[in-house]
Amino acid sequence: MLPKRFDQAKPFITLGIIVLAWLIVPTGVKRMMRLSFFEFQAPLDVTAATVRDVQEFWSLRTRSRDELIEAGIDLAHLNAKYETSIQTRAALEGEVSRLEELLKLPSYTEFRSEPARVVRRDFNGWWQRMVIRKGSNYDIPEGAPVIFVGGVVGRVRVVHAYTAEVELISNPGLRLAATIEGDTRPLSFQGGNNPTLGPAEGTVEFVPLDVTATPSSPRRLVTSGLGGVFPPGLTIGQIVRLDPSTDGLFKSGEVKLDPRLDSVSEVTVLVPLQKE
Amino acid sequence: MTRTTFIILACCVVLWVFVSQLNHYLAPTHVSIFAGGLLVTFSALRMNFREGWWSSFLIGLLIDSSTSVAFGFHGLLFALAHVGIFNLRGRFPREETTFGVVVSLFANLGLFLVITISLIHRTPSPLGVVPRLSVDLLASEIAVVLAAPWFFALQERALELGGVSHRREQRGLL
Repeated sequence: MLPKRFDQAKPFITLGIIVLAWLIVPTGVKRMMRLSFFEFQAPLDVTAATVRDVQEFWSLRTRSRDELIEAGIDLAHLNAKYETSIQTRAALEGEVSRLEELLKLPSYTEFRSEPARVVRRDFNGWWQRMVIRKGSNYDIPEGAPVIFVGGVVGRVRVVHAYTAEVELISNPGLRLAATIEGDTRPLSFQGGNNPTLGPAEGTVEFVPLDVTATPSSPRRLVTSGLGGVFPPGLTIGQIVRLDPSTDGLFKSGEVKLDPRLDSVSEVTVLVPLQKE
Repeated sequence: MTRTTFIILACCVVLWVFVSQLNHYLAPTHVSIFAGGLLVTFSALRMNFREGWWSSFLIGLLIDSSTSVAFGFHGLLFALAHVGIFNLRGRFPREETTFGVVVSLFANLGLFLVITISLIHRTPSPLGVVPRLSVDLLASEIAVVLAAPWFFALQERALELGGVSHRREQRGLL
């Protein structure tokens, strides 16, 4: 029989052996296990999201006919406005192509828009991510930019069979190249701390010393197009404060992200088109 | 792994789905609930070592599969919590629900702190995230206190329905 002291330590020894065994398991095996576990639980999330959609549908069914007619009229106005925007955009795209050809400039990456419903939001103090209801079944690639009506949402981190995980721009681990609207100098944006009951935040670094921003006169931060993931000009947030950094060479500051990011339920994935 | 492991694991998955949905709805307020301590307590206090350990480890891996951490992080952490609680359980009235709730609170606190310490380096200003994490921790502990009696009863009843009498097992009758 084993001594009593060893008997008490047996669970810890077993755990130690398992930890060591886990460390030497090949990465490929772990990745496969991760995907298997995710696919096992993915239907639970998708089912919950579908139930939410059904609830929403039935709550909308309780609206009166007058309200629906009013909404239809508003929609018709919006459609008319968008029709004009589409025509203007087509003219501008033609102009850009003409200039690219004339000046022999490399053309921007073209994207296909893939709208997707949000299945689950997971915004905690450690990470900020969401799961969307489209994955490799819609050819969503890893790293694809995700946007919504308020600007950038984030980028696709992992693609699964029917869902994809999106890392939000408010995630502390996410960094991307940005510029201030009307300026071409690149800055570095990083997701920040997201305070309770407040809008999501980020930080900005390497801002030139001549740039100023205050809460009363914020500066719009947009994607720079550098790095090749995000197309240029997409809104990231508003720089509301800038202070000189410790080295005195640049400024760093605070970025307020769009408050609608916290309750977004529909996003658009920009899928890069393969050039012929 | 036996039938008991899978019954406990199924109950843990139910709780985890509830917590995930709650977090989905709480997202606009930037409050998040963590109930990791509750997932390991019942199995660590009332099940035999191997069956409970497997359910803790597997639910940890399930959480790992959909989070932004290395695969195995929660799994090994939950397994460690399980071993710690299991080793101490002989000295306490482990069948009491009140004691279970207290253990859940401490386990949840411990796991929350360990995860925070492990991931704090990701934030641009670690001190700035402390108020947010404090609110999350407080909300999580309240949620654990409210949900623990129900969750223990759920697991107990699920085991009964599955034909496993853990009460008799604890007394050495099986």
